[in-house]
Amino acid sequence: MPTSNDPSAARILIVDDQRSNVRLLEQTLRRAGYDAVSSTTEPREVGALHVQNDYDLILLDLQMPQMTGFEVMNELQGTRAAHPVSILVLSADSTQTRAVMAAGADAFLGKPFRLPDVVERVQGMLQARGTP
Amino acid sequence: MAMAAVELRRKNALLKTGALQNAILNSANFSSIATDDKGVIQLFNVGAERMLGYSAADVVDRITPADISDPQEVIARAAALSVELGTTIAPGFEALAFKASRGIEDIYELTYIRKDGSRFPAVVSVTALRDDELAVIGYLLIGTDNSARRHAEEKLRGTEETFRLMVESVSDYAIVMLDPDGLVVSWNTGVERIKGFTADDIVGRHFSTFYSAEDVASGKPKRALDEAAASGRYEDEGWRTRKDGSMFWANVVVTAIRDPAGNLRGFAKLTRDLTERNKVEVALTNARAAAEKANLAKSDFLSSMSHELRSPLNAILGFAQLLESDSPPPTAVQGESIIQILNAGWYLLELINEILDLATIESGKLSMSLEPVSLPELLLECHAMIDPLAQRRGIRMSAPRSDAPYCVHADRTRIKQVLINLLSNAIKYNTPGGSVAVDCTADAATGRVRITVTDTGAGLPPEKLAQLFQPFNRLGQEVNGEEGTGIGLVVSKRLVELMNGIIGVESRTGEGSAFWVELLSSTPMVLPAAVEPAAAEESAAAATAGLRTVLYVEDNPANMELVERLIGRRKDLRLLRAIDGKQGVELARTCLPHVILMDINLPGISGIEALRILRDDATTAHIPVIAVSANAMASDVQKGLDAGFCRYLTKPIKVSNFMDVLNGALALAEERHADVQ
Repeated sequence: MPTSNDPSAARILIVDDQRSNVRLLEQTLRRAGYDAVSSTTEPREVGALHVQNDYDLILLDLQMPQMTGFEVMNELQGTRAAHPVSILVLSADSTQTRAVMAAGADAFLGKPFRLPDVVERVQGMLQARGTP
Repeated sequence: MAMAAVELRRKNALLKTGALQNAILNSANFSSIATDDKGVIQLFNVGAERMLGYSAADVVDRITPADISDPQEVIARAAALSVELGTTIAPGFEALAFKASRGIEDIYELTYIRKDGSRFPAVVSVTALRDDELAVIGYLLIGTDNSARRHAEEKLRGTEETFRLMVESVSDYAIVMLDPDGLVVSWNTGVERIKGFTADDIVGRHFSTFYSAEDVASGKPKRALDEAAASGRYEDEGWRTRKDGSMFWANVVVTAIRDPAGNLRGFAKLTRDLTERNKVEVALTNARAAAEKANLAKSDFLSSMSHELRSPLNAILGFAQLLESDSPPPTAVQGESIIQILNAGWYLLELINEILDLATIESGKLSMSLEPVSLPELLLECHAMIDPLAQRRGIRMSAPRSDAPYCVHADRTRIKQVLINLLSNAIKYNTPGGSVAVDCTADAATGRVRITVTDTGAGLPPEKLAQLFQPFNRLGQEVNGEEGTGIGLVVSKRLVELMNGIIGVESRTGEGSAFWVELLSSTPMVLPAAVEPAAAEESAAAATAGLRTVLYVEDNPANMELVERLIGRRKDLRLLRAIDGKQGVELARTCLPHVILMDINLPGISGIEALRILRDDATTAHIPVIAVSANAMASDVQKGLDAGFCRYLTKPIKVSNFMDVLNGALALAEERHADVQ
């Protein structure tokens, strides 16, 4: 687990089937100084990517045609990565908040979001796990 | 002379009858006329005089009763008796007395003619008077005036006739008279219209013909009669058969008919064709179901629409935000354009959210958790949220007074939403340099607390006030360039109503408006005195092996404060706090408290979900968890206990009960700990 105060050290994965959302989140996080941001529009790859890269934080969309965010979280619970990953779910469906938290997410943000809120939430979650 | 002597003797014998005679003579209501054996009147009492208008002197020894009777009737009676008895009977007194002379009791009706020629119906009883050798010596005719009875009879006949005609002409009801065995005796035209049978088809047949074969096989017609005979009435609704075999939906009432002695004389069966009504009902039910389905579909549609709309809006707002903070920064003109995009975008989002809110409320899917909410605290929170807007608009907002400790029965999140809506309206539709004030008053009589938000805006004329709570009706504000959806007040109204409250407005043009919300007052939670500092220090010092920890997961600060003070009294207990389920679960895992108190309605994951997570985790599965909830219905309690809470406490918390339950749970924790060791 990275311990330096350099935000670029935090390994973050963005999962969303819509490219525009992926680009938006990537640019937002990069501007905030997070350099180790990668992304995928294919939720079925998330499990394998996590085993391979041991992310600190995953930003996860809920409604994706290939596989829902719930299924992704379910799969992540079964993966044997080195560390448990923090999950921030971003969804247009705010009625799902409770279900999302129960399924193992650590935080929820409704879409559309204010960019400062995303950055603040990411910072808070990384701090909580000892990653800046 | 001998003849005359005999006659005198007979007359004397006749007059020798003493008391009877007196009674007859003195009766004023019966005409008593005694004749000799030839019919010549010998006695004519007071009653006869009064009834017939003759005096005794007019008639005695002069005429026979036949002379004061309708001659045509006397002739007709003579003819009829001649036929009946097979002997020639002369029209005259013989026609009146013949039967009596033969010892046959005779009562008949005839018309008497008064002295003045007027006539009246009479009932006359004729008896032969006999001497010791049984020879007829005369006749006694006792008569009563039958006018009143005849009149009543005629009236009754008229009524009966009218009634019969009425029954016969009723065509919407089939009315059938049955004999005690269920055979059809008579019926009306309704039977023909409704059932298609004619009189010839059915009179004399059993009424089970009206029933379907299955009903007859199952004994339904018999049961109907048995029940009607037993209880007087039988009613049924079901399919019946017409003559052509087609079915109709009928309401049937069978009533037993009994004579005054209580003997069963038969049944009246009344059948109504309800096929049309049934069709209407089915159509109505279908229409209602369709409308409900359509409403549900509408709500589902709005709900999914609003989600669908959010995704592209996310990209619009997101990239506009990126542009806004780009480096190098946008030019002034570009910046202006970006602000326009962002403003419109956020406004569109607000619109979508409100529509979704309204759809959720209207589909009945919105769940409320009503519990005591402390107003001073809530108003401070609202003030803090809305103050930036007021400052931007240059509107003075007086800070809410916190000295009145009002408490209302409400859903904390939703009442906050309503107040924020009223406050932001008061700011947005105010006049430059205006002000907004918030007041609370309690009405002891109604048991309600009123929160009033007063502005110094333009005010509203009465005709516009009525339109205020209609969706999308912005009362012309759209031309003033003020953003808004016109849904806010509608949503607020529905929310307040779901909290059993009332919302209203008073307004004066040019002076401003006062929007108010009334909610049921709730007993404020009585907070025990704060723990003394010395005791607190002591309890901190006692953080040794004997100290036990209690975790309370609760989002309502008032409830938290109450429990904090209760636990603060106990030197052996330490309280851990979590404001939502997620935090609660995390604290439970890291601190392993002895007992957990868990609210059910929590933001994020519910208390029940949090409990499930704790149960599934081997490190926390043994910790007793007590539910603390405002949901006090028996079903809620059962649901909680089924989910695995060891006890279920309902709010408002009762101090003594709370301590008992907590002690019980602590004891349980000790036991489980001992078991593990």
